[in-house]
Amino acid sequence: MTLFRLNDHIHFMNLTVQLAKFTLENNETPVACIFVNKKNKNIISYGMNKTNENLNGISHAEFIAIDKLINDKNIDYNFNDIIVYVTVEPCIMCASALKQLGINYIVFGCGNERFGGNGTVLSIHNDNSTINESSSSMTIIPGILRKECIFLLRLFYYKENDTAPTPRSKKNRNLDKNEFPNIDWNLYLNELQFKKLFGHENLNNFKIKNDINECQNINWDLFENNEITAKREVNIIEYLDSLIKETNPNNNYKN
Amino acid sequence: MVKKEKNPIKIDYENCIVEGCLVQVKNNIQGNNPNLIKVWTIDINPKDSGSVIAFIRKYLQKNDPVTFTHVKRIQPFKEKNILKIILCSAQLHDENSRLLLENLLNGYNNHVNIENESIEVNDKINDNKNRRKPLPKAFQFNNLDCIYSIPLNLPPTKDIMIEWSKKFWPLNWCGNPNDQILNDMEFNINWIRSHLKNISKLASELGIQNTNKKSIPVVTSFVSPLDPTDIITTIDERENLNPLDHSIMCGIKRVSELERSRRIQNKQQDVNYLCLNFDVYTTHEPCSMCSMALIHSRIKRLIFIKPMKKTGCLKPDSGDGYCMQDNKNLNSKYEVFQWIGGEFQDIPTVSDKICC
Repeated sequence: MTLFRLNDHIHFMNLTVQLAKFTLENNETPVACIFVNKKNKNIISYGMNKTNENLNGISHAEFIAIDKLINDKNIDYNFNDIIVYVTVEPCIMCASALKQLGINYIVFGCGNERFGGNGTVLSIHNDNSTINESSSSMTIIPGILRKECIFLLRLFYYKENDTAPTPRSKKNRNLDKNEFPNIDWNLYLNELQFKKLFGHENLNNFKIKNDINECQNINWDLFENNEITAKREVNIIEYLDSLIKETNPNNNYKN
Repeated sequence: MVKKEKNPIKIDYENCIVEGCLVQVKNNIQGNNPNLIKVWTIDINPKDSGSVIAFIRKYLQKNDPVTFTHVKRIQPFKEKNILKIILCSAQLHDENSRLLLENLLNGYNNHVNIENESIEVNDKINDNKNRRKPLPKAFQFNNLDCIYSIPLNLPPTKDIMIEWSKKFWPLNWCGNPNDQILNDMEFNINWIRSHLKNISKLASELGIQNTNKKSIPVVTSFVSPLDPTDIITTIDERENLNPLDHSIMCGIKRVSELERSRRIQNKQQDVNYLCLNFDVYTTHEPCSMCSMALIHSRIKRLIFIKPMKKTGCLKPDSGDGYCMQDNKNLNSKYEVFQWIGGEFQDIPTVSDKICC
């Protein structure tokens, strides 16, 4: 088994945030996910929230990625070997879906206060009623690029108001770039698990509910709205597609 | 809305049973654990109560998201000769709003004093003509605090109400709130019976095939609120390609596919939003994924036949007792009933390790 370090998680979450940003153009809530094979660090699927486009409440990013994976005949996969990177904590429905499939490794950015199923509202990963096909225990890693993921949601709600029947004047709205809420690590991890994941040097952040040292400064490059970023957004999907093609061992893709 | 005694539907309010065949499934844990909210209170002199109530009506009550109809707003403390009075909920002004409320109270009292003085002066000049009605008098207050918690809703019984009144804050008994909820619901028992007949027949047919094939005999119908003859029936398809294709998930997807093609063809003017206000009929109590998917889909009501003791997520005594349709941590709800009538109970059993 390949070892995943914090840098790997940050790398993959960086891509996931870029993918989520893409959904803003389509007026979807900016949530995205990427599936990575634990064994070789290959990206094997990805998904973006499509609830508005599909006219249903279940086309969450995770379901789009699962559909894509299942329908891709060229990829060998085992649900037990997948790491899910997702910008927002899976909702109860998605947490249940992932567990029922046997996916047991979830990394996310920010918590989902309304519907979170991996600690915030319910802890589906630890329950008895959701039957898990895999025998190994679940790994839940919260708080990777948390501020970036929260900021994506803020961008969405800031933007959304323009289309409201009576939009509030811009003066009264503010896009807060400085203040971020604390993270209650206790909802997702105990102190021991936290220390094992993020090291002794981060332990104080657990106590004071701060982001880990590696994620305290937000990477504004991801959000700058210039032409280059716009190009990069289009390319993130092409980039992920090409990665999936290149690294897939069967390589049976017809061009 | 009909009065309870005039409702043509027979309802056993005590046991929450409709027409002897549908039992309401809800979170009954709330019975002993109230949903509490913090409130702002002040102590006042009993003679000022009228002025304080006038102040609350004018400046706080209108905007407060919490209604206090089930609460006695004033609590007397005879030994101290004071009244403790609820100003507003912490949902209107949060726990850090002391200064704001202090300014509001003091500002009001100053304003009242000045206005009343000017009225008095005016009255002396104008004799009896153009007399303005004096404002309610200013009042003194002490102990502006946000330490009391009150139950957001009434409990189901008067006994618990009395217990809560002692423990938290005096409440008003206006009957079990669930009685009114049940009374206001609409039931077409013949329709319900026909939908259940349809899905249980299909499930039984699948159950017979089941001996050869691995399919799971769970069936669901989605019924549109716009047209009750528009019925979408789906079966469990997890053995085909997608292990998540439980019958409810298939139904939600089917509803949205039909809606998409309808919008493309622009056939109908009325369009569905998600599964808003749909009635859903299913053979087996759904799992955590499906019960939550129904929350996301904004359905109105689910009726199921067979409980799933281990994997079900609706009944308080099923699985982890989530009561997903009525979970206080989720801000959206739907009605749930279990069919307990004599018919349809012979539908195929599903292993208790299966999430339906």
